Amino acid sequence: MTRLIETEGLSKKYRATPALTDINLSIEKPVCTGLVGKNGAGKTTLLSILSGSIRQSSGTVKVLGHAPQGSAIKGKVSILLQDAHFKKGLPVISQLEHFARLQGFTKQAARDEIADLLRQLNNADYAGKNPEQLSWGQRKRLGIVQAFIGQPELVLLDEPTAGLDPLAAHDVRKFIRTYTDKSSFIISSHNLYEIEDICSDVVILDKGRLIAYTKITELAGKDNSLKISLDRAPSEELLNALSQLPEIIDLKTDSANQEKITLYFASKQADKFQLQVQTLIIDQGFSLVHLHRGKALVDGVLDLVDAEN
Amino acid sequence: MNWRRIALITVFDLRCSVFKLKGLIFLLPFFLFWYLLLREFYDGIATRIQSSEVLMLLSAKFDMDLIARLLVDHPPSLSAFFIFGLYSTPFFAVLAANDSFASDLGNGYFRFLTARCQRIEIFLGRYLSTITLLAAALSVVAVAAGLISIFIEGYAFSHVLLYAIQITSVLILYTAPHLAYMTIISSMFNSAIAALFLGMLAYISIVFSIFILNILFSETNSFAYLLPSSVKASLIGDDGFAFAVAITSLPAYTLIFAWLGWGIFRKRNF
Repeated sequence: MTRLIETEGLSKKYRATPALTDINLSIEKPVCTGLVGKNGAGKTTLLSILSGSIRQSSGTVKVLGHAPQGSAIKGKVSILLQDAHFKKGLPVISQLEHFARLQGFTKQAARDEIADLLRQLNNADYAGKNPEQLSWGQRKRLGIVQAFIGQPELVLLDEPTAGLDPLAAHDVRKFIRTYTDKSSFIISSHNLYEIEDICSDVVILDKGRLIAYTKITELAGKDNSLKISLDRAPSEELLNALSQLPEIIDLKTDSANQEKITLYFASKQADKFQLQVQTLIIDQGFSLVHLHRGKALVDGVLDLVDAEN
Repeated sequence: MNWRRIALITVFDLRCSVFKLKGLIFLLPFFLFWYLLLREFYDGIATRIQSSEVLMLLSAKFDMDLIARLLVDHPPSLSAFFIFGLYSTPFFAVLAANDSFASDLGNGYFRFLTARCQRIEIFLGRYLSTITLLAAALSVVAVAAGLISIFIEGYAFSHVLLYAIQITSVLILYTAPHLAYMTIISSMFNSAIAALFLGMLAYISIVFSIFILNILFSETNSFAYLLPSSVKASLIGDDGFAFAVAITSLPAYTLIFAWLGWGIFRKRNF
């Protein structure tokens, strides 16, 4: 079976500064993988290498079984990078049609393909303008359109919703979701809730090193924990009562959000324990605003990165 | 390598060049220069050049037979186009090709292309676009000079046509290595302005270095052959063998410079 991505000992240095170090990664298709890590973790560098925009300093990379610079994968992999810009002084729609033609579309087919994608993302109104006449968000949405031309086998998206207003971000997420059964995705984002929402797997990078490649369900749900939001900050009595429950391993409060409590517990009857906690809280005169069992992706990522450091 | 993609890149880049700043930086000075020069020929300077006093003056510097061939046997407007074309080519090549890659390396545009084309296709497409632009511009001037030769200087149409084709082809061939030289410069910078000024500076520096080396090692003139401009005299001259060597050396210069440019371009981070 052809793997989506396969890297062995992949490293990249910008002069003396290492951006990626010894990345060994094997991703099978079809999949929607999140790529997460702090600023400077090497996410954009990894996506750039996978798309052939930059070359690795050492190691090997295969995308869809081929070298990223090879002719065989051209048009099968697309990318949206944060710092890629359309040509100034030329309508974006002409540039999109040019990209489609480079992917093998005839002139008319290119027009039809672009018109269809613009309609799906509600971008048709402004695609005829030059890029310098568009807002940052509009250019970003048109950048997303270019990444979906010809339904590539692999779509690499670098922060696809960063800087977009909530409605536009929602549109983009919805648009991506409609393609997840047709194409494979690698999506880099600082918004881990977005990754959790769209992706099934996650690659975690830290300081250019691969920390983990795992299923999100494994990472987010492997520990028993309860994240609780109350209507107000918990009293000492409530915290004492909760910490005295025999199943409790740890109890954490959040100084920034004082109404939030996280309980870590060990119990084979998690449903029964959850009900017990809810009852205790209500008996103490508090209201439950939100309750989530299992870890959120953000906690899983933070735990892994902290453990690595 | 996919020739369809190369053709698409060539045509698209030409479209961007003709009406955009990228092209106007070359086209405006180019046509202004030739307009001012050809206007002199339109006003009848040719007959003044062909006067015995001027020919005598020129013979002090150049071979008399050569002057006679260029200015009397052939239409002087076309000959002037040929000679001035050879001398101005390095300057116009820098203007035409400074932004072959530089701006798009700076703004990340190539990242859209690398997902769809190989780097060699981008490199060749952009080079072909620039040479096509210069060839088209030279052809327009050749047509103008040819019309002056027929209607003002009174030369036969067939003679003018053959001579115009011959010298325009030589000029285009002579332009090719200069544009290839600019692929080296344009691949090195992320800004068209930087490529423009440093392209000129580098060329002038090489010419000056050759001049100094030729003084220091006066027994040999071989340093001049570092640049294609060394064959200029052979392209103008009467010696058929020297002309043949000069013409065949131009593709060699082109390949060497383009190979160096490609060496930089293929390793660049987009």
